[in-house]
Amino acid sequence: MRMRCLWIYLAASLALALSAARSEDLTPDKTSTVKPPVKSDFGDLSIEELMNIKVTSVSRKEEKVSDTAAAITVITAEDIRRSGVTSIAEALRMAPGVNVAKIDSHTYAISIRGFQSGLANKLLVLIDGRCVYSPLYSGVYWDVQDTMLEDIERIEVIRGPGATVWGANAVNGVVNIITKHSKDTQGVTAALSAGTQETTIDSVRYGGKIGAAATYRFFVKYSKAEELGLAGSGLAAHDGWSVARGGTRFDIKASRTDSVIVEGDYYKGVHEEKQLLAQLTPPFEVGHTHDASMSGGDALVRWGHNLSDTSNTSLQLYYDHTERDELKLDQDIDTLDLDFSHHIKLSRNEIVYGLGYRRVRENLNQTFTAAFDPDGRATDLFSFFGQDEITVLKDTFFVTVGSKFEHNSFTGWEIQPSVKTLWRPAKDQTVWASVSRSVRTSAPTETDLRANLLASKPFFFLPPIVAALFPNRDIPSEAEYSYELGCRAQLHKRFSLDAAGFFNQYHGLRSNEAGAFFVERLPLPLHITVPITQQADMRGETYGGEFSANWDPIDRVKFSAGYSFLKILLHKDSNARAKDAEIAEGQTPEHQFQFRSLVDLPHNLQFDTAVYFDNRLKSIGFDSNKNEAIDSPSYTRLDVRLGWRPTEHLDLSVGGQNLLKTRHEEFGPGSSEIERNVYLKLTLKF
Amino acid sequence: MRFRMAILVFFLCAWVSAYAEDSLEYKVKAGFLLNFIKFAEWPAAALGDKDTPIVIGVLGDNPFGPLLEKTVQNREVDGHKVSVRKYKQAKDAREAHVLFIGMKGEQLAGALKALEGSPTLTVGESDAFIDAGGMVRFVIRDEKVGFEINPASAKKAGLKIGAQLLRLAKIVGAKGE
Repeated sequence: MRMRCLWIYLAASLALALSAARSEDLTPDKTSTVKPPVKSDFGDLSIEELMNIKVTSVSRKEEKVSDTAAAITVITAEDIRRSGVTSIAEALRMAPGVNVAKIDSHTYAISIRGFQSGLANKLLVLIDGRCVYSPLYSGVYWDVQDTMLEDIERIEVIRGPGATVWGANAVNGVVNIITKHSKDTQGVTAALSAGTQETTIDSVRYGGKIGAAATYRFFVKYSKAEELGLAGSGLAAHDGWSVARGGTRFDIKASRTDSVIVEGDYYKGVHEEKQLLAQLTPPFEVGHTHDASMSGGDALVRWGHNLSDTSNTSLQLYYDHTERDELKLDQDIDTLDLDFSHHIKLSRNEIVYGLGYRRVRENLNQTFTAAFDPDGRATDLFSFFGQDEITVLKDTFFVTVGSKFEHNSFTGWEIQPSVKTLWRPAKDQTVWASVSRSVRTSAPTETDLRANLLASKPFFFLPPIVAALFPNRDIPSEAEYSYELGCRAQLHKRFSLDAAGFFNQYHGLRSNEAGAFFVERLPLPLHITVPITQQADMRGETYGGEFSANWDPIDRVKFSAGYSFLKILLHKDSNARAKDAEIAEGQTPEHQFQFRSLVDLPHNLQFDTAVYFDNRLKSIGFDSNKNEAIDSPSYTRLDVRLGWRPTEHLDLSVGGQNLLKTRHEEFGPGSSEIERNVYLKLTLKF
Repeated sequence: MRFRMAILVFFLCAWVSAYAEDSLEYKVKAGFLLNFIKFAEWPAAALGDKDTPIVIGVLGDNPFGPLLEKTVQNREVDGHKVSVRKYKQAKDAREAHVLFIGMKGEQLAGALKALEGSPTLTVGESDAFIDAGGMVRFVIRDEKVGFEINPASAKKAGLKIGAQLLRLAKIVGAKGE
């Protein structure tokens, strides 16, 4: 049945594509006042008229992408606009091989090549060069990583390690979010949208000039999502969410050879939460609801300097402040990061090297639920990297070797080398292969945290029993050896293919091991404690591949399709006993499929669709009554958007997300049911 | 059933492809090349009498396909016919009045060197085109075609570029100038 729906959908997209193809000749930009020329050439048009015609240019960016010896996908500003997505997290669905599951109205489990979880920790996420994963647990708080989506230039998604250049945590992927130069965001733009689930997403930006050498922009944005129902029961999930934010960017051309970027953001938001917290008195486990608050800000300065045509340097300093006051954890984190890099192009070598220093200061709460020891500390990270791209055979064969060396306060020195080769058998074909080692550094949630997870009193004559996570001070980093192979081919001007395969070996993956129980007197009353510590006693292998194809049958129609496959195999070392240690094997979809179409229709209309399929997640939850694991079913998601852009000042769109079902779950028990969202969006530009 | 659907979809797709239009981007760029003739001024010797056509040349890769010919077909500028010629060697392209160079890197640098001293308006689109000594570079901004001009290198070749063109262009200089 579902198959048939998909076919009907495909046929409908094609029919639309056809009608677009056959409709009368070219549409010069919707925005210009130029009448569509009757002729099929533009010999009669003036330069002003020509400059107003909208063309699309995929080739430019792909050129750069095709030179990369890595599995990279670029999500463009146009992709974001036409997908109708409302957050960075949702936009990542468009990159094949990225696992995106929405846990509740604002929380996401996002990973690449496995280990998907709400606490997923093997990704490096950057916004304009600022690292946004939390130093506390190496994961990302996606609910506060946002900006005005209209200001995003592109999102580069690299599947696989990027540690040689980026450093620790770039184990399974790098997400690099790059915003537009402020000269490209001049004037006033207001984007207002109202939806049935995401009720409000409003943003306004103003961009201006200071003299001839500097441009700037300011934006404010407010987002709000309604509370959802819990998967299974439909009971209130207490996950309503809203965030207000503002930000700015200045671009200054200080001289012919110097450019400076200054950026800053501030946000403040609240989300409801409901958590079961353990306590030592009856009833031992109590559901608390709470209005959690989160706020933060950052400031960044980057100075780029051209020493010559073939040599340039970049010096960057940023400060980031993150505050979250949640039931389980109350945190306050400051990060200061200084980074220098130098890029030199010689005839056969392209060398990049850099130095970095990062200081992180944490201030963490002490409650019965979660206590850090020490409750606050400052940690230092020193790093150095060097990389050389060697042209072995001009325009044809390249070898890149490099390594990152880091010293951190938790595990000391880490070395992350890589060797990459790129071969271009023909002009539009690229074959690449790479071998690399990368690490995920141990984090305070592993080395410093005592968390009382569960409490109960099974026998009235015994004191209460508490299961508690204990810190493991000496836990080593997780290390990965990755082997990758990929190819890209522009088979025709309008058709391109991309395939990548990988085999990763992991050492030091975590398992939760229970220790011998003991009696603890404090806090009162006296209780029995079962200690659980995280041990680095798991090994694992993952293998899989991602395939994508882009086809633009005509200028006004674009199709793209993606498929990814992933297999995770985990093994316990001899001293690992935990029963559920291998459970992560099934918790990332094994198969993912996506298909998107972008169609320009006559009368300045656009019709865009996207279908995503995620295979089921195994053993994502546990039913203690039946004593068996629960799976999360596979799901298919359909998004549709109809846009109308009568002038360059106005863009009106109506669309829907998750249209196939009223509600569906994406991440098993405990997660919320994601609801169909129908929205109306108005973008005004002056 | 599913197989038949697949075949059907395949043919539908093939049919759509057959309808495929020429690249819009290069249609627009062809229009630009024709316009450049109207706003550039060549030394009298380079233009010759009315019987001499104005030549738009393409050197290296030709991303226009047949579009350029279609665009200039039966057109005259100031009484001169406009014709399109394709060149393999840069030294042969010195006769062109406007020359689109579909080259990159060292190949491009070599071509521009071979063209030095000839009054040819060089047009390109590679990132380093201006830095390599080219005069006009197509850029894409906000999905629209625009262009950069380096008036200094045009002047060196003895070309005058009209104010109207300069007003619409982004004025740039090659690195090190």
